[in-house]
Amino acid sequence: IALNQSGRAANMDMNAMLQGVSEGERQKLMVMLEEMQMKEQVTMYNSLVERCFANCVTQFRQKSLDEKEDKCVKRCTMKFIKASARAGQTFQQIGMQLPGQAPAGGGQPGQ
Amino acid sequence: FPIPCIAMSDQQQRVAAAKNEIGAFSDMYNRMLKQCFEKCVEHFHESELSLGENTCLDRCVGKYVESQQKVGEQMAKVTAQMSQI
Repeated sequence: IALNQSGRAANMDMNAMLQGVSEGERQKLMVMLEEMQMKEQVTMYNSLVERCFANCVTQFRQKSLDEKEDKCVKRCTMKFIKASARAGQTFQQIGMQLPGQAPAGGGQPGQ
Repeated sequence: FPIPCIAMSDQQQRVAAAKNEIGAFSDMYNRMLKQCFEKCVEHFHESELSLGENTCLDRCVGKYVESQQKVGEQMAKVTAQMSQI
C-alpha cells in the first residue's frame, strides 16, 4: 500500500530524469521496476510472517497455534499494515516539504 | 498480491510471477528454518538432535506454516477493507 504511494512519487521524478531516453529503454526500465516491486511485496510479506512468528510463538507444547498466539499474529499483522501506511504517509509529506520538490497536490498538515 | 502491472505484457507477467513464487517459497523456507532452529535448538553439547528438539522442530514447522496462512488471510481482509474506503 505504502509501496504503491512511494512508487507513484518516484514515477513523477523519473519523467524528468529520463528526458531524452528512448522509449525502448524506458520500457525495459518499467518492466524491471515492476519486477522489483513484486519481489519487494513478497519480501515484505515473508519478513512480516517471520517477525510475527518470532514475537508471538514462544512455546511448542502443541503443533498448532493456541488462541493467544492466534490473536497475537492477527494483531501483529494489523499493526504492521497500519504502521506501514502511516510511515508511507509521513514520508510522502516530508518529501513534499523538501526544497525543489514539485508538490504532488495539497498535503494536509496535521494529518 | 495483485499489483497493477502496466509495463509488462501478459506473458512477461506470468514469467515474473512464476519467478517470484519460487523466490518467495525459498525465502519463506529459509526464514522458517532460522526461526525454528533458534527456538528449538539451544545447546550444542552433542551433534545429534534430542527427542525434545525433534518434536519441537516438527511443531515449530507446523506453527510457522499456520502463521503464514493467518497473516495472509488478515492481509487479504484488511486490504479488501481499505480498498472499499
